[in-house]
Amino acid sequence: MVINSITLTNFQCYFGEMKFEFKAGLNVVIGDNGAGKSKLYDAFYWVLYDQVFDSLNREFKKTNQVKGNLVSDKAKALCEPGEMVKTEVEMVVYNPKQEMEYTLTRSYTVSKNDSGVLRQDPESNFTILKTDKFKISRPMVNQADIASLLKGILPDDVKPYMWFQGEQVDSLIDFKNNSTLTHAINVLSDIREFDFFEEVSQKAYEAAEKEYHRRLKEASSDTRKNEELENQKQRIQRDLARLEEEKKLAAENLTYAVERKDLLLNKVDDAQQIKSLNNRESHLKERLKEIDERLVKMKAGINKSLISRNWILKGAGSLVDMFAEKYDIYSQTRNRQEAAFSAKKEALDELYKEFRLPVDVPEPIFVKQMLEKEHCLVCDREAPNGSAPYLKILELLERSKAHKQKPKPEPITKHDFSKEFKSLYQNGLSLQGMINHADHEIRTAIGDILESEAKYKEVKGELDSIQREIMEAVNASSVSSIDSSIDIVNEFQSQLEAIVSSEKKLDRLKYEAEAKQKEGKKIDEELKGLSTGKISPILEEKKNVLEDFRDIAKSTRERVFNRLILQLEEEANHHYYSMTAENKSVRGRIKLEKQANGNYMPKNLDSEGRILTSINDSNIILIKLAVIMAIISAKKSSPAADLYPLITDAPTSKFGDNYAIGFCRAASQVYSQSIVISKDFYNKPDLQQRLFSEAGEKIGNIYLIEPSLSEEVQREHRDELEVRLTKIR
Amino acid sequence: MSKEDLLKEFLMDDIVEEKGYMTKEDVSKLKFIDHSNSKLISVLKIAILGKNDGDSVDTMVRKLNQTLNK
Repeated sequence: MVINSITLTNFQCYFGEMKFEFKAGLNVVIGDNGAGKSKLYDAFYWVLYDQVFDSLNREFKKTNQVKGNLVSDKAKALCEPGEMVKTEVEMVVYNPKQEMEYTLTRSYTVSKNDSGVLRQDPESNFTILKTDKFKISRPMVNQADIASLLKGILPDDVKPYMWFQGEQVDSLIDFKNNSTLTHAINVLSDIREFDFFEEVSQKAYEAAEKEYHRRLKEASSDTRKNEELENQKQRIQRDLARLEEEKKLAAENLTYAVERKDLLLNKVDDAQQIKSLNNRESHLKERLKEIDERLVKMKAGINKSLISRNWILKGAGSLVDMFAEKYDIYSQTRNRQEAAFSAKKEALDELYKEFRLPVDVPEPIFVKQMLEKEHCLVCDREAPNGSAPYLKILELLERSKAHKQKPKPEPITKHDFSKEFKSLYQNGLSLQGMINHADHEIRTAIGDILESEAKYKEVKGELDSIQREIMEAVNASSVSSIDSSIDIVNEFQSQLEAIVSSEKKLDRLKYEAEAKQKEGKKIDEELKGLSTGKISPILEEKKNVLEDFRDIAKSTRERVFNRLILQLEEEANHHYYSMTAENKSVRGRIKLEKQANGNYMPKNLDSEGRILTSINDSNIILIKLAVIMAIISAKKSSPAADLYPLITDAPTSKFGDNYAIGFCRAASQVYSQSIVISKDFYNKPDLQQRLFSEAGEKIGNIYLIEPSLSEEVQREHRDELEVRLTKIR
Repeated sequence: MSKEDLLKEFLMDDIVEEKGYMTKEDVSKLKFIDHSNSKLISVLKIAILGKNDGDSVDTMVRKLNQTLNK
């Protein structure tokens, strides 16, 4: 089928009648954001399936859900009371084999009553006009014929691969689900017809085998033995079925484990690095905690030791020294004073020794009377004033006075603290050793604290640096967090273990199944040996031929499928290289890898066959697209490529500009007709020129669509919105 | 895939040669319309034609059974 044209009348933002004509080859509709590209895609969808895509809710909606929203706002605004507006999409498709043209028209009407209130039809109206090569037209009314035609334009199962929007590409093949590629191959290639032969051959063989065994039983010489053997055989078959189920399960588990392992492969290195950094971080945190606890203990110990270990005396050693020094001066001064006093006292004592009479003998009162009387009462002699006896008597008086004035030691300070001073000095001397020891202990303790604080700082610095490294590693990697990195490493390890265990299990099951099959064959021989009559050679031949047919059908399907895979791989790489030609990032090579459960998965490998882990997202989507294109283009007789046109809206929206040319080039090579709706070429004359030259003869029509609104004031109102269509090639 | 291509595809399988039905060389020269006494080839032709005619699996099994009972 080729789409000749699509005409939109008052459809969504398309006001009035807009006709796009298409040719075989690559057709491109270029438009900026909001120009009406998706509405054009909607028009194709609406005319065939009565649905439009609701971009707000991300789902397709039927006409009866969107109703008047299908109609151009401008057309509705211009509609006068009592008038009606019809929105219509007409698509003309051509079947070259039948030389038949089909005009598919879907319309929907709204009207305004006299009060200007909008009345909306509940449903759309759909008609198909069939025009033969003689230009004779007639409407198609038979629903079965209509369904068959619609299926011919685009079957439901093929639809996702031929008509898609950019954002849907990613889901066409799910790299996490290993059956989607197989599904796509089944849908798009002719491999499915081999499934039919496989089913027929299996059923035919089962019927023949049943018949054969029935005859064997009938002709048996020992019915009881025969029955026993049949029972044994049934048990074996049940065992084989069970083993087959177990094998399937083990293969699924193995596939899953391999898939998960491969999926984690591009994360595990990063995760491992983050995990090891995390281990170091934990270790450092532990050390930091230990140091911190030690520091707290040490600081608390200082307070305690102030009293218990006399650390409070720290620095008092100099005071003791200072006191000793002062006390020394004090002692010396005191000694000097005492010496002087002693000398003076001694001198006086010497003086007193010269007198025969003791001091105050006779008493001074008598001495005074003797002086007054100038008469010595001791010796009873005259002692006239000024005479020697008088002077002697006077001397006695002077001696008494002098004795009264006996010198006393002069105090050094106002109060005499010499005892206390001495005691303090002696105490100081006894504390000196303790103070020196405390000083040493405090110095050691402070040294330890300083050392621990330095260690704390060092470990903290190391921890900060590790934490920065972790942050950077997480940001730079595909691992979302530290926790997930631990999960990834653990899961990777457990998947490796699961692979080994599943492989062992599969080997064991295979061995068991082979043993059971041998046992079954032995029973068959025994059963045959019990037969007395001859089994019809026709029946025997039938059974053998159908067994061979079954084996051939199965083996052929596998061979064709494997060959198709190789072909697909080559084609996929061809398209992949073509699409990524403009982009210089790492792209690798596509490898369609067989899984343990028989399904295939696209993998991206480097030149040494290792899974490429650093591939960008655009390339992953392109791999999917390339595989789809390969499935379609692998066989020139592919029904999809020949019969169905590709219609895609913004297929490269997730990629950069430099993928657009590559995509269009590949599309022009793969699909007999493609309609690419894209903004990549908008306002890029150079890129447009490259498109024309690269697609060469395979280029169809190129259109430019733009909103007609230009004035700011108009842009506020959708009532003025319409699309301007320009054919640029 | 044409009827002939399909037939050759089946007959090119190693089992065919191993079981002594036909050599690969003979298969390459074979035409769909060629007459053959090989019951396997008859079975394959019936299956291919039935597929083209849109026969159901049960119909095909019945047809094959009838052919091989002769």
